[in-house]
Amino acid sequence: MQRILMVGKPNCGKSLLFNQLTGLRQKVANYPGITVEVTRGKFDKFELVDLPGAYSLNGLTRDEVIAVEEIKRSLADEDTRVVLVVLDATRLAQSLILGLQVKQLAAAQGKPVMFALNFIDEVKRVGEHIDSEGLSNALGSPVMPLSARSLDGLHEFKHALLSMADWPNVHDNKQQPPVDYSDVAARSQALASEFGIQHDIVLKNQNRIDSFMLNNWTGGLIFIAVMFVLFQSIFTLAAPLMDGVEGFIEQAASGVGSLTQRGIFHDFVNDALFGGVGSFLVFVPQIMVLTLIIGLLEDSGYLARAALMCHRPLSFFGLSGRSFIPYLSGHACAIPAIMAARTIESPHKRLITMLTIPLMSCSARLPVYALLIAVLVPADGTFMGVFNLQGAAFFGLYFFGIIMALVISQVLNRFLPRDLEKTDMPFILELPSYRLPHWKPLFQRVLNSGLQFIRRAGPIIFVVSVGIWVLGYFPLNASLEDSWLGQIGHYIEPIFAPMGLDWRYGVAILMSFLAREVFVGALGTLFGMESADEDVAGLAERVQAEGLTPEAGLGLVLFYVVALQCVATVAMLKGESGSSKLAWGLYVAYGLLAYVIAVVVNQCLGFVFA
Amino acid sequence: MTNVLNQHNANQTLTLWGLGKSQSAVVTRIDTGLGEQITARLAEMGLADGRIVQCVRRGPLGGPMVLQLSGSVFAIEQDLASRIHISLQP
Repeated sequence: MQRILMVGKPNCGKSLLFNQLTGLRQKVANYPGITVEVTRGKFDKFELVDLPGAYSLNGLTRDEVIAVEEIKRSLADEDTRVVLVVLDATRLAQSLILGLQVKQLAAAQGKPVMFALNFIDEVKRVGEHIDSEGLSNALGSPVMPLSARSLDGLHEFKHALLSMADWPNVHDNKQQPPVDYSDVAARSQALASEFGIQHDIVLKNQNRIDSFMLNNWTGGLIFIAVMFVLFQSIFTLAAPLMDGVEGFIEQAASGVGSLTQRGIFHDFVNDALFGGVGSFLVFVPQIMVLTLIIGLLEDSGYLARAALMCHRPLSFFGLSGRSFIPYLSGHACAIPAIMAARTIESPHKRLITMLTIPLMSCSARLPVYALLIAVLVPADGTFMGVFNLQGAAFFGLYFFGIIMALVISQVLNRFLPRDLEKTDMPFILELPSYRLPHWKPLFQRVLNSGLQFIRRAGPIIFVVSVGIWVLGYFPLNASLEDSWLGQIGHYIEPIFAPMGLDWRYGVAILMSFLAREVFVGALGTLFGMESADEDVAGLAERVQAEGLTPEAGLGLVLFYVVALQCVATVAMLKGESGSSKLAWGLYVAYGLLAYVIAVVVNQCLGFVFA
Repeated sequence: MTNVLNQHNANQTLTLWGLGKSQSAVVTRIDTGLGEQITARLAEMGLADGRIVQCVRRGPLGGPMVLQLSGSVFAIEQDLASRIHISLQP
């Protein structure tokens, strides 16, 4: 299909314009190898391709470099009919940097360019006007003033874009002057001062809000409040949705189960498919809720301020202010978080961030935490009469993970060899205008986050679930203790004895080394309970009755904070760092560290209690 | 008179990091050690010899400073800001 490319700087309103042109049907594609998020949709009879945002073809951060490669590749493609450059009318000089560079590159390829002058409603609101015809003459390409939000000028723009794509003014290739970016900075400045608007008016509002957001005191308080609301909503908003998914899977399982005869097939469908794969689908709502809140923070402009405020404190640990966003996402799932680390300017800091993201308590750890906290902490206990003790224990585990990540970052910063060939990029961050987020791009992002999680982690979880089921099911008609899995458990029991745990925990831990969320279900099966995933309280009583010592329980839960038990994360780390040795090395290192912590806690506390 | 002269001399070695809130200055020299790629990017942002910069505010907790450059607002960290030399505007 013939294509229209869309490029622009970050925060130029590109995704909303894309949504307005294509409707809500779109596809986010990930290229194999180095993954770039390219969104595709249909606009009339053309394919509209939204390329990732970049400030300049002279890319600094990893995500920018990848975006630029993709822009260049797509520009050279034969099917590309028109290149649409989205400009931010309120920040013309910065938008025109990429605009002028792309214009030159497109001219060299013989591709026509159209400029969409977005946010024209904001220009009007401050009583300014932009001479788009004059700008169009100066640029040598049509400039269409519009607002993707208020829909001003959108009709005329669609019409002009279609007629340009239908009858592109095809240039003869190789006729154009060679590409030269040296005067781009000066030209964009000159054009902006001739056609742009008075900056002080537009920036006044932003600077006024920033005087609260970036103030030492109010800024800090707002930051803490935002984080508090964020974590609260991961639980409160996601909980009913997670129950809904759980209920749906149960219904489906009993529906399908009644169709099949008792036997191997029935057991396979019931336990391996619905039990194993189903328990993983429960995390999808939580990932979507976190994506929604992070999306709201990002689109409103707050996330850049949060990164700015965190830069200095995080620098102390060898991290960047931009590490804050991946760390935050890591509390839902490490996989999108490792992707998000691409925005970190320095390769060294980016690597440290990626290597410590797995210590953030992702949602797959939640059921494990929930079970062990129910075992260890009384449900009606309160701390100083106010805080629920179990809630405080949850918070403590999250906090422990973050502290571990910071400590390990500091250690890695000291000892990780620096790649001397790559210059360390400085921290430069644009502070965008504060804007009310629009629901359309947000909705897309939330939906895609769920789909991508299923697509990435699903196949691995499926294989692991089936493998575990086979080990636990055979030899036929044997009890679980006598199954292959049970035999392995008894064989490895001495390893787990120093942690104060018997063979059943050993088996459950071993099973969860590929995907930690199987721990609760596995332990339930080993304690002879059906559907432990749905009845955590029941399982907790059983575990208590069987006499798990508090020190062993604490050691076990800390083990789960530290251990990297997720094959999908290892695969992601391998892809992003380009080193299989590093990814599997980290897997082993965190496993050993978790083991040592669990053993030390169990032995020391056991000594104290005795 | 000597006071003014001293101040003038001091301005010669002033870097961007020394710029206070709401102060403006002219960029006089950018450390060549930064490398071509970063220097080119800074020029695109509006940080090049002869350009005027304005400090909007100092970052919280001694963190990155906030600058207004050709109609956009950027935060840059101390390491970079102290390698950009400026002279205060009269």
